[in-house]
Amino acid sequence: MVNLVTSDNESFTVEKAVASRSVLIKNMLEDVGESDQPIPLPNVTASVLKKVLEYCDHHKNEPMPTSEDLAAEDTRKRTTDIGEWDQKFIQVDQEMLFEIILAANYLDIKPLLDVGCKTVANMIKGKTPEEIRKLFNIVNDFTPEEEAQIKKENEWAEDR
Amino acid sequence: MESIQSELVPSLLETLTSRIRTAGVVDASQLKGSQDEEIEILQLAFNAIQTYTTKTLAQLRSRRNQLAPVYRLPADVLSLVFRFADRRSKALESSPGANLPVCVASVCQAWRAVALDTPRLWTSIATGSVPLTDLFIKRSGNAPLNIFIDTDKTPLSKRAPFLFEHINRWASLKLTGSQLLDQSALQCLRRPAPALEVLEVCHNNNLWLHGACTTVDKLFGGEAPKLREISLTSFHLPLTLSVFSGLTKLELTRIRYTRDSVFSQLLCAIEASPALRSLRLAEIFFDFEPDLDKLSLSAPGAIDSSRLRYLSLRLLDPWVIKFILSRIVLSSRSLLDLVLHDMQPDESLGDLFPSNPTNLHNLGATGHVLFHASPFGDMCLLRGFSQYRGTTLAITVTGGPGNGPVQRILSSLGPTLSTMPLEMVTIDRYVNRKWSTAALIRTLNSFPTLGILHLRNCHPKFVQALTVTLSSHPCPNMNTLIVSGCPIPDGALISTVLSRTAYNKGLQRNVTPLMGLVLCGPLNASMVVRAVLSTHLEVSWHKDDLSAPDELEGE
Repeated sequence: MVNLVTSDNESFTVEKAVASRSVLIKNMLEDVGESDQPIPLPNVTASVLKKVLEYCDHHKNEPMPTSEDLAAEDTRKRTTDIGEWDQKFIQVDQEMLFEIILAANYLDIKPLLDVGCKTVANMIKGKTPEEIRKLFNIVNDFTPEEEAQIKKENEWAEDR
Repeated sequence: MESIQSELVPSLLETLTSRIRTAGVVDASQLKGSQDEEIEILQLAFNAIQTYTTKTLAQLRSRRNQLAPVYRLPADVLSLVFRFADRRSKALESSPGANLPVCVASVCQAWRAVALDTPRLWTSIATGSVPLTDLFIKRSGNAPLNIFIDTDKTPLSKRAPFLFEHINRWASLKLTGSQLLDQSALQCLRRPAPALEVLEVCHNNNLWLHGACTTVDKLFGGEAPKLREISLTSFHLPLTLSVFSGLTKLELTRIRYTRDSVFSQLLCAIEASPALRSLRLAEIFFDFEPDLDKLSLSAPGAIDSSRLRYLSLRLLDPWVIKFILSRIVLSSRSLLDLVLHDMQPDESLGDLFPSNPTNLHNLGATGHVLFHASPFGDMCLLRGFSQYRGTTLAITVTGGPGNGPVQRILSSLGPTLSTMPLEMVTIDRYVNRKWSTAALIRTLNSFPTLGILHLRNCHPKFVQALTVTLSSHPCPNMNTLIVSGCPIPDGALISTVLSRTAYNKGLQRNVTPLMGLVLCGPLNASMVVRAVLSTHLEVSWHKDDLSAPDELEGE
């Protein structure tokens, strides 16, 4: 078993197979060898780690992504689909969604990072810039010069 | 607002213009004291305020955006989000997703910076808007390009030279339109493309019907060493070209061939592509009378295509399907997808499969078959599944009016594909009372390993046909019967089932007693049936029907 300690000082004791879905933790465990020492995770809160561990537990028996999978990251063949269980798992509010993505990025859990990024990608696609701003509560901060260039680019794209 | 304009602005402007005047910014030697000097100074003040204000506003807005949760995503993660969104858009559109990169680069400064710093986002080049093409080429840096050329939308005569400048970066080329005979378009296919991995050519004119073919003699000057996927629709390329080797995907659709040598060429191309994973031939017309003996001599023998996961032969003559299936060795994990339209009254599965097709290992891995008939008898679907529920077989057959293929396909299933070690068969919607019970039983008896039979929405006579008598032993090794949605009277169902249990004192030794009965849905699960039969075998009951594994897992 592995003991993980979150930024808000909460402890989670989990199976090694579950914790090792995180490449960061897996490497730490390999580095320190057999030890009862808790592993501090200063960038992850308890509520987020709970969700992340739920994901890791569900996928613990799946093969880890190979170097070939990771090399395929930028190829056009990489799937954009999200599995059924993952879709339900990632149905959380925006705040939690971004926290999960950040945790997956920090803990180096590539498949979870992909699920999070694909979910945000699905939220973006088909929307106008204004709709995206509204969705994520951001405002147009372009200067007039930038605005003029952007207007031209959008006109060209519409002509396509 | 009014008080700001009437009280604050005049005094601030007064202060500003007076400072501009004192600073001597305006060369007022000739304008001094004139109204022109006043105008010049006021204009300067206005420009300064406007520039400062817009800049400060943009900075304030940028700072406000920092508080939005989405801003917590680092640039590399946001870049990944954009690429997923772009791929998703492309998957949903037939034309490349030009709008997505432009859209995300129009949201805010931070997103624009990330988008512009993601060259792969700008690699889908279409020949529509010229400035946009230039913009994408520039922003894509050195990333591999995906070129989409629609000759109907944009004449290539002007843009082709510009695109050729970057041909070394082409990773995929999708050429579509009805103007493919245009010389400038064909030039695309004659120059070396060292990075090209995917070629897709779709001629929009229906040349299949017109009987003409487009030909290109020297494809990519013979230099496309990375080409792995070729898809041609209504566009003919000689299969002897060097590009037809080392492929992972080959699709030929709506092409007319006039010489029988194409068969040996096609099989040679398959043989020269040992990593081929997907092969799809659809609506290929062969404009000659086949001499099968001669073809057999000229074509290669059994081709080991063990990495082929998907073989699709659609709307081809039965003899073509049979010829190909007799020469290709499929692995146990392959999916064979056959589609036949307007099957003739004298044709059956025996016309599609070679006799004793042991080279098709996917059949040898098929443990469950689902046969689905349309109620009108004009169409049937046959699906095969391996034990891990992977689809191994997908056959769709339609017949003309009054030419129902259902019985013929079911009748020929046993004699033709008895190499399948079937443990389970599902017969769905076999509803026509004119269809023969004997034919059904003969087919089921062709599979001696058959242990589970599921009759779903079938005519009651086909359930009753399972009754064991002294002279009739249908499905002798069946140990479990599943009945759902079959409108059979309780008494008839009980009688049939009891005939297959130890209750039947005359049950022969060569007939396996029925161990389990599964009843699904309200039609077949009355209290009486359950009460009577549960003393003789294990009876389970499901309120709803069992779903059939009828999803086609194609590529």
